[in-house]
Amino acid sequence: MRSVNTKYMVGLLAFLITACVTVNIYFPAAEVKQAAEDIAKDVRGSQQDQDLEKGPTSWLFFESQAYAAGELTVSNATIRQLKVRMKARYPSLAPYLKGGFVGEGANGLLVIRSDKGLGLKKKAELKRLVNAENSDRMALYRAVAQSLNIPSSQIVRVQKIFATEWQKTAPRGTFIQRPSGSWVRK
Amino acid sequence: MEGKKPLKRYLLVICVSLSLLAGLGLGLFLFLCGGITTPVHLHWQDGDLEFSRFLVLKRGDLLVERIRFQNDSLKLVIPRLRISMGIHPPFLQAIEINDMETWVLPGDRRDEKPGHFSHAQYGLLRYVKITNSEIHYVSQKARLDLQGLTLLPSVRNGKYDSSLLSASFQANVEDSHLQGNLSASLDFVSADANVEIEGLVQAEGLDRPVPMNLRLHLPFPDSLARLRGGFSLNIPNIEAISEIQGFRLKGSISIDGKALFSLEKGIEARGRLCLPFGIIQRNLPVKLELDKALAYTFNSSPDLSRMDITFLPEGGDHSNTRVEFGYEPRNKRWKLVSDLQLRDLSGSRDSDHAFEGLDLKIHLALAGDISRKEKVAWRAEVSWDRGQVLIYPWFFDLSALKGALAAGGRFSRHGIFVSNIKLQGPFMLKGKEILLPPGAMHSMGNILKRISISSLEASGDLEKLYDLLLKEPFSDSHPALSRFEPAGSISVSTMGKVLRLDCLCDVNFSNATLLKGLHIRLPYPFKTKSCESGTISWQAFYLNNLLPSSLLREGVKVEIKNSLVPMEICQDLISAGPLELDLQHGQVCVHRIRMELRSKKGALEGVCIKDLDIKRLFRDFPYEMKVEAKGISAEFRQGKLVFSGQIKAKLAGGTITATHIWLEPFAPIVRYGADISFDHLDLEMITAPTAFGVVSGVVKGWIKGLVMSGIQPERFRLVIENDDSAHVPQKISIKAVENLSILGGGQGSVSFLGYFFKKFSYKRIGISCSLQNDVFVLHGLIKKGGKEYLVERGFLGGVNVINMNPGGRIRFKDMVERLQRITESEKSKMEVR
Repeated sequence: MRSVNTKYMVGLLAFLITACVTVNIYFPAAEVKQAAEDIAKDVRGSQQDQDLEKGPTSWLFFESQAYAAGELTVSNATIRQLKVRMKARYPSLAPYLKGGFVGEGANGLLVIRSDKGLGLKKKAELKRLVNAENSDRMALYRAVAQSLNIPSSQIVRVQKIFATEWQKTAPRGTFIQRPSGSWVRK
Repeated sequence: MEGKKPLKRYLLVICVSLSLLAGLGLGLFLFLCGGITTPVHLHWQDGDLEFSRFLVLKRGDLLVERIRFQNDSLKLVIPRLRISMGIHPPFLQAIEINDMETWVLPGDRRDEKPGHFSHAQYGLLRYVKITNSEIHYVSQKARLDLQGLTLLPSVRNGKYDSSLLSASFQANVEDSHLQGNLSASLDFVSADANVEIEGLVQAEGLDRPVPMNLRLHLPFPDSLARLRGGFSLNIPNIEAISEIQGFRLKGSISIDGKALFSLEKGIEARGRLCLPFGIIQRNLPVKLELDKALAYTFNSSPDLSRMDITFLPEGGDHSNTRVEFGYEPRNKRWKLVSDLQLRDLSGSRDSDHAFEGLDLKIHLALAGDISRKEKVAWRAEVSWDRGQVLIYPWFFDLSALKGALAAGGRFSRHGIFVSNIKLQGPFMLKGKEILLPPGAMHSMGNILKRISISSLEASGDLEKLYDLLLKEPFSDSHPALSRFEPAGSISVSTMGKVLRLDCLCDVNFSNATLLKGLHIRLPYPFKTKSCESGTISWQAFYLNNLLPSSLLREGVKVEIKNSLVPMEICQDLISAGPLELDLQHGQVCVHRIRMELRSKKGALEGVCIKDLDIKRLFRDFPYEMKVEAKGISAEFRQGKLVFSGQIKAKLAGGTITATHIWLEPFAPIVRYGADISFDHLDLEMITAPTAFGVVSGVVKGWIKGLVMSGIQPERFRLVIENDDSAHVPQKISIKAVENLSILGGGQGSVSFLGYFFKKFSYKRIGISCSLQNDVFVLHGLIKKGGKEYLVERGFLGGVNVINMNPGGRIRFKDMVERLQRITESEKSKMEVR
């Protein structure tokens, strides 16, 4: 009878020990941060860099093209093309960022803070720009996650890391959303 | 005298009977005697009348002194009464009453009878003072002065048959002042009286006096009773009183106790108002019944900011409004007409719905009856010529889209019925007998399901509508939209329960003709579950203008002529097909394309490719290659088109097979991919036309997980190795060895003597290459002695190509540079021989 009780106790102990094991899913935060840093700099960099980002001119061979891939650890054709689009859009967005109309959200997306003082045409333009940019950013986050084998459930973490980099590289005057949700002006 | 008589009888005694009696009965006696100088006392049930002296003066004038009258309610004293009159014909010339005094006594109100003066009405006499040719009515709130009362004989048809009474009057009721002249004709034949009052009204808010005219017809007998309904009041020039400033209206408006509309929710109308109808006064002997009511507001600067409506106007300083309300009690009908001229109007519901700087002219008319037996009829006309409207993602600049809308119909419990509608502007729209049920406007899908349309036609310029509705709002997110330029016409009409779209146009793409004579006939059964047949046809489809100019071979014209694609359209399903594209050098066909509108799922059925000659179609493609496919189908789900089946291509004596093909056509960057296997490819046929260098032999292999983004590879895994079963000579040129070394980042193990040979034999080729994260990883599949061979030489000699890059990693950028070096070496003809 006593041996049976001992067996139960051992079994219970084993169960408790195994129950305490935490399974950590690896999240390559450093790689995402590096990618975010490089992409943010690239998108908001100089015009020269933008020229280098032009796509290939031949379907069969990638002749006469130059990719400013730099030292990126995360990149692929989708990311490169999204960068080109975002970089081309940035000059249109910059005045709205500087003017405080658009803020860099804590989720890595742009947020319209205010459209006061803008005519309706400008309001429409602003909303279209922000929606197009956010659509490209989400595609970018998915592509980065796919590149680093990050499950889609973890894309929110990719967004947060990117948010920090977008906020760092945003021009003076841009509203920045803190993780707490509050807004400050850069 | 018998029975209780109403006051009119007393008046008759005072005014008419005396004169008749004097003239007809006692006239002669009195004339001869000169009058009665002793006091006379008359008593009957209704009261006592006495006077001290009754004299007949010259020309038949009567003078009565110290008249006293008293009954239960009233005591009246007239010190002196003089009546000037004619005997033949009988007419009244003047009545002079000096210092009349009245006292109202506490009476028994329970005895009051309809048609008789009430105790309260007697009470009015308390405020009346009559002196020579003057009557004064003075109460706490009102004062009426009649002065210069005169009576003149009137001649009609050569006879003196009436008297004309005239007087000037002044009336003050609270802050309103009325002054003018009163005239009345007293007909002695019919005993009717006609009264006309002309004057000027000065009321609070009026900046100048307003003329008025009042006509009364008092039939005799029973004139007071019959006055009801026979009363009319007219103000001849309604526009003249459009100046009442500061009018405010708050609360509900009701007629006959039924609310017409309620303003309880804080709407406050300010403006100028004229209400030319009387108000029922408790103490007046007559009830003024409403004949016609009109309410006008004229406003030059409405304060609309407190209106509790969905769109909250923020501006409109220069607006003009005019509202007219009319009511006819006889048939209980009412009418509201408003003209609004709104300028520079701005407002917003939320950040997605707003308007700014809007100039609108609105005419709105509503009519109905108070009993609500008839439905309320409405008519609206709206025109615009300036302003901006945002209904995100659409933006409309109305300066360039001037137009007008006119519609009319009825409101009913079934919804809004539009009997006719007409729109002129960016497109034309005409409609008849449309019923919008309540709640139908919540969504477009809801509208289509619940709306009932007898007839609707819309047509417009396709180019303008395309720019407005598709290009401008969506080209930021879908840049390709800005490259399409359709030109033609589009029309939409309803026929029964079917909405028919008809579009005839040419379409340009990047300034080059893409489609000529495109005709889309698309009937949509929005109210029925049966399906309709439609077609898409075109005269010419210049497919080469859709593809990059560098892609197609020069001179190749990919035209698809005179094609017609039948369609079947059901409420939730659109299917089209068969579609056969004759590409000159091959055919592509799709048996059926299906699209489920609600679930956004779709499918391609029976896709086939026949004899597609790639070499004759595409520039820079150096190989004879024919592509074939049949029985392929595809399903579209969650933005991805996934194909089942396989596409086969004949190339270089071998076969290439593509499976697991997929496409993301609507992603920000178009992506597609497949798994590819190839076998029995003659390497010499493949390498000979390129700058890579000739390699002979037969190879097989596969590319798995190929993903293309646009026209760039995103990732793949490639394995290529020689096919031993082919038994053909296997040789590799020195140039190929060098280029393979360049690509691999290693070096070819060719001795100095080796350069005397153009080709080397080899035993095996085994290469694997993958791309992920912009990094190529190149490995040799042959491993011997700790080395990785891409190419292994034969037993008796030949060449080894060893992978010297330990990890085999090559950045995408480096690979591109290496490919450039290979192609440039071809251009400069620096081939090593």
